[in-house]
Amino acid sequence: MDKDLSLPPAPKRPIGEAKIWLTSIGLALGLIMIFGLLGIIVYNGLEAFWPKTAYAFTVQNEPEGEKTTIYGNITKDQTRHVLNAEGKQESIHEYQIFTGNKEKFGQAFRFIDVHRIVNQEELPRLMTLERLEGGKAIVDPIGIKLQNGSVLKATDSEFLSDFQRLTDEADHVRKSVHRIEKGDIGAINNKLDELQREVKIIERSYDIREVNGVSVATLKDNPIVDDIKNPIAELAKLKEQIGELHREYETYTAQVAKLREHEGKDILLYQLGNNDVQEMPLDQIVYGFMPNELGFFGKLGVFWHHFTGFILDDPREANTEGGIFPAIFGTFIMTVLMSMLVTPIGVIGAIYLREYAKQGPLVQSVRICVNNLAGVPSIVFGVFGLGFFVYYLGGSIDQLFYWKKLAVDNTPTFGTSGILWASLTLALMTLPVVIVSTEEALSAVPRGLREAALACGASKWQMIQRIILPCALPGVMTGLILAMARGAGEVAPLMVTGVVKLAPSLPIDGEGPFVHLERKFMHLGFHIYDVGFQSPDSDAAQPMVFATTLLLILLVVVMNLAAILIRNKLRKRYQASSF
Amino acid sequence: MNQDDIPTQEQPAYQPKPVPKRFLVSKATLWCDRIMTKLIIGGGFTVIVAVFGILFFLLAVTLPLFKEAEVLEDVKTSPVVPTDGSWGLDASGKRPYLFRHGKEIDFLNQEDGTLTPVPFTLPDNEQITAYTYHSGLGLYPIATDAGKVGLITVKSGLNGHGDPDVETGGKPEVKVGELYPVTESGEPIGKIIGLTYADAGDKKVFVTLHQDADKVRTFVMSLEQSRSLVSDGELEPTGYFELSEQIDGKPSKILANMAGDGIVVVTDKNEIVYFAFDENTETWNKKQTIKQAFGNDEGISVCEWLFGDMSFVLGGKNGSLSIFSLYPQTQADGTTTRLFGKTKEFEPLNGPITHYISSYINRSFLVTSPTQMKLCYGTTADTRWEEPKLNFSPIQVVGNHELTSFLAQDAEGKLHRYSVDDKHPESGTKALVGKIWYEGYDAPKWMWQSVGGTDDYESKISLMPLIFGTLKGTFYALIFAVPVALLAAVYTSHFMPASVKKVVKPLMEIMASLPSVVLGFFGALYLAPKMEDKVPAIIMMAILIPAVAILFAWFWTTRPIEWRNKISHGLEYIVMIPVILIIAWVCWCYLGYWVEEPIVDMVRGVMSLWGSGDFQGTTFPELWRNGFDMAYEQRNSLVVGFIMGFAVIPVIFTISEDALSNVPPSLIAASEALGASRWQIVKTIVIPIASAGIFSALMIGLGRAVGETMIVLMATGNTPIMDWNIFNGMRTLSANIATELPEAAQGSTHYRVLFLGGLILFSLTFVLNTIAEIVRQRLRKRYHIV
Repeated sequence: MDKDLSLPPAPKRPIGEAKIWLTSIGLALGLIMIFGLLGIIVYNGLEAFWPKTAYAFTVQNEPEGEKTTIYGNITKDQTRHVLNAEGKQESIHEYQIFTGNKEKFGQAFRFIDVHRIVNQEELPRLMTLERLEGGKAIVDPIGIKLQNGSVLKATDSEFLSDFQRLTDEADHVRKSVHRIEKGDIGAINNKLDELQREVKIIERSYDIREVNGVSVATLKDNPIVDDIKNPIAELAKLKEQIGELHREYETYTAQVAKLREHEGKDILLYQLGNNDVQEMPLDQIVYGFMPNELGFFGKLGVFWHHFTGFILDDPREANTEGGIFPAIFGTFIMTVLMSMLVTPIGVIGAIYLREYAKQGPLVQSVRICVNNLAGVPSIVFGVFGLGFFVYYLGGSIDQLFYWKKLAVDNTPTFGTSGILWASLTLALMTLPVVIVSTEEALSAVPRGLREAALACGASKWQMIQRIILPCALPGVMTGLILAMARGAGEVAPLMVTGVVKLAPSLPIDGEGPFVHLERKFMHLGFHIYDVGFQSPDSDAAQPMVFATTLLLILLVVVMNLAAILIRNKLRKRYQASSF
Repeated sequence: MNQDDIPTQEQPAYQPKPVPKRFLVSKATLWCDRIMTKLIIGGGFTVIVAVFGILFFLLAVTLPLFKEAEVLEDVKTSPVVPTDGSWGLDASGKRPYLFRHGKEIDFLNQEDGTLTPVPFTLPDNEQITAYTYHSGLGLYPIATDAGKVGLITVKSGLNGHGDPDVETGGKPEVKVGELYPVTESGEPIGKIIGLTYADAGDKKVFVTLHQDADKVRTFVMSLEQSRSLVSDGELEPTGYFELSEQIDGKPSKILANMAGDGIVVVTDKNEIVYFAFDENTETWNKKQTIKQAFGNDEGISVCEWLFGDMSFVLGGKNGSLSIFSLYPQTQADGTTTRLFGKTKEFEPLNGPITHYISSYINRSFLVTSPTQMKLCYGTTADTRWEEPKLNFSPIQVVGNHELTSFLAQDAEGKLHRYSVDDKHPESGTKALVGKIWYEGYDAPKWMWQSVGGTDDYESKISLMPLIFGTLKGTFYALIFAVPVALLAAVYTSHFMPASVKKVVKPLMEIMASLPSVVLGFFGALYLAPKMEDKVPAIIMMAILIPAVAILFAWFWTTRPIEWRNKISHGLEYIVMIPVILIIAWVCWCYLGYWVEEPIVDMVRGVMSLWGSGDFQGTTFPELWRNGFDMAYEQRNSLVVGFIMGFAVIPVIFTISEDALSNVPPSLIAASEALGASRWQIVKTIVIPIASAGIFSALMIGLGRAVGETMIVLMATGNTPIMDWNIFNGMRTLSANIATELPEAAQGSTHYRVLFLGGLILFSLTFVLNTIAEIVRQRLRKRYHIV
């Protein structure tokens, strides 16, 4: 009997090709997700700055009803599904329209069914106003009533430039007033606070009474201080200083009053579609433009104006308008502080683990632990930061150095969340990133280099300092950049260790010791959370949140890209220089 | 040195030539080296200590939660004092006082045992016939022979820390308040033999027991204070009521609650009668009679409120101890009313329960029997401390406001002083993980509701809902992320040209670095509103995308080679992108609406089989809400699962891709040589070898999902519920910490429980990562040899 030794027939086509197609869905989905997310954020973030066309809609709600005209931008164009009288689903095309003028209409947005719109027109004169209070407004300007009684008509060709000149003037006044109030008067207030604290300390420590026409000071039962030689004289001196500061204060308030003299005298006349003439003082307007009269470059100009304002201005109206400069600055300072803390510690730790510690199971397990720390949720570091840094370390610092403030005002200085503790917490959180990548870089330095250095008579430290560290520098940089990217984007630990929705002053400014590490700060990530979720009108705030998100993502992605590029370069370099 | 100088006879020991100075290592270098070595070793150690310090710190903060109460008797001074009269204790527990003879209050100096009397007089020479002590308010409600009631307020002169009060300068004060007649006519009815008092802020309630001939009658009198913007008005009697007819038997104990709307009466027949105030008729109506409260004939010896006055503690003559609470109960006629029911039972004491004192800041209380003392906590029904063999039998026990100290007087008059140190009575294993029958609920439950609006709020600190929420979020995230990430990793590692891989991998890594606050915002404010009414479309996508992809793949691979060659290997995903996008678009805009009504109708048809198909609505959310009777939130687990995918996919992808790519090329080459197709290589060689690496990728992905904070914080409603419903939210451990920690007072139970949450997260992720790391290292070792 012949055994059939022939092979089974070869398959006509490779086996499992269909399954390969199936696996490609995973990648395709992943790519769609990431590009979709980035695309939506970039589009919405940039759109927030772009001037939108303003329309005049004439709407008739009932067939024979009254026609009303409203001005607004179209913000959403969607289909709504409702049940009609017969119980069938019906789709209705509707617009969400941003009208602004929240104080007049009660809300800034409204929905209009498209089939109710009788007329939709791009009125050329429509103006978008950004106001100090009440959000944006879309209005039909009539003219400007000047202080001297004359009226600038909106139909004049000069109207817009006059308008801009007047608002710029008002803006200038506002800025000067702000500078005086915030800078000079703020400084006086701080000094006053300090002096008043001293006064309180003396008053709480000493009982000062008139005895036979002479003031006598006796120590109280539980004095805050007991070593003031002449409390009466001291108190008089302090009171005199306070009086002096009050006089200084008066001069500044007089300056402010003088600046404000002409404020609010020029008035914009406008109407909102119903021919009722309304008035608005020009100093209430931050910026205004006529979107329908702008060409592409004009729009680009407005875009640029919005963008720079966003980056450089302080927030207004519970963070939903204005800029985000304090948040950018806070993020920046916190990241820099964090890097300053994490780099030396991380590098020293890595050098120890790689170059000094005896390699063995113990060091190996320490390495695993450090590595695992990178996977511990960030909020856990927040918990640790609050408990250890803020309450324990900060509380101790307060008791040692700021006990006066603690005793008098019962307010902690470092014993409450602040930028220093937030940075320390994030430094601890990103420590594993720096250690791991530094170690990797150290171990990638070829053995030959070390041996050569030692053979030339270098001491161990000299070898590390002059040969190994420079070689490993790109690796250290990679780790640092990754750490910065992670630190800049992290919010959860900051929420418990020092971030606030609105910080009255920056952590670095022109006052006192210039660097105020105990202050609370604003942060881009937290700004997103806060404006997106805690603001009263989250619809109106959304463009702002998208813009902030775009900025944060840009920051993080650029940092990550840099780290990846450096890492790739590094790999190539060591591949080439193998001994 | 000259060579000739060497002596010939004796060769001296070899002397090395001194090294020329220029070859010497400079001192500075050596010093520098030494200092740096020390610095680095020190620094390295610090880093390691810091890493472990986190764990120890978290442990140190959480451990007190599991500490039992410490009760210490101060044996240094136990003054012997009179036994006639009623003891009271000030807030600090340092100055006990004795109400004696109805005309003075004696303040005890604990050091030397002397009593300082502070006398008081009642108007019109009235005599006190009954009094009681209210340790929560530190006052004595009294009743006089003129049929009037009033309050005697005691100010010990010490503040809560035991230091002299600023106001009084440390001098004790006794003040007799205004007296009010108990009856409308003002005429006394018999002799008042007992009374109770409740303070509900603007309303005060006195309940009195009158011995009228051989009957005991019960009266309720309420006072109300009218407040205006300018000032507090006078207290004025607003209601008189007699309860006697509604009580069967002789009342032996009365309790009035501090809301002023409930009275509990214990009778000599061992019945407990509950009266509630009806606002409309302004009468007190009997709501409930509890007979045989212990389930047998055991008599009631103690019945007192637990803090909050929502429950009372019942002690029996044989030592039984249980708690009755108000909660909604369904009556025989189908209505639901709030009545008392037994919710907790303690281990019985070995004798009749004689005394009861309780804290007025939490639900701890202390009960005594003639031979035992027991400190319990009402919410958890835990015994916090116990003195099993008491060497005296207390005849009077009194505690201070916070129950941080208490006194027990024995029959000889000796005053035993105790201090209680129980910082976290409401915590403990049972409270944190066990089911507890909270006040106002009809069954034991796992609940997280750490802070309430009022002081007497019963905090519910079970971690179970949070752990459940964490697992739920993780589960829905992984269900979506794992298949996508693994498929992508398999495809990228072996079916994609190396040049493209170099771009795709960093792209995915960037996705990993997207701040979670961005993802949370995107999910909650952009996606959630859009997804709310698009659920059918999403279901269709979940079915159609893989289905169409498989169909397309099958169709394409059965085409002749000339066709297939048009798409070269490694470009399949580019074709897939438009395919997926088209399906998604069709589902989102059209298919979802088309199928919604038929699906709902179909479900309605199926449900009418058992008669529940008559719900309102034709849309999917309505089906869910009305038909299935389940919650349907806009920010739900579906959104969280999808958005968390952005965070988890890249983690799993990167690590498993590494594992898959690191399979030794020799093995792949060998299989190729044997004629395996590229899928066969991946399926039979690559995936089995990399399985350990994939496992560790899953572990790390799991760890990321478990600890994710901002996404769940923003994209869910953060309600701590235990419900797998995908259209409902959850509250995770991490989000819980982020929302509550800033408000928790340092050192409080709440604060420590939140730290415990942090510790759980820390340990969980640490263990997961360690497993992953060990598996990975094994893998590395195993295939290193190949």
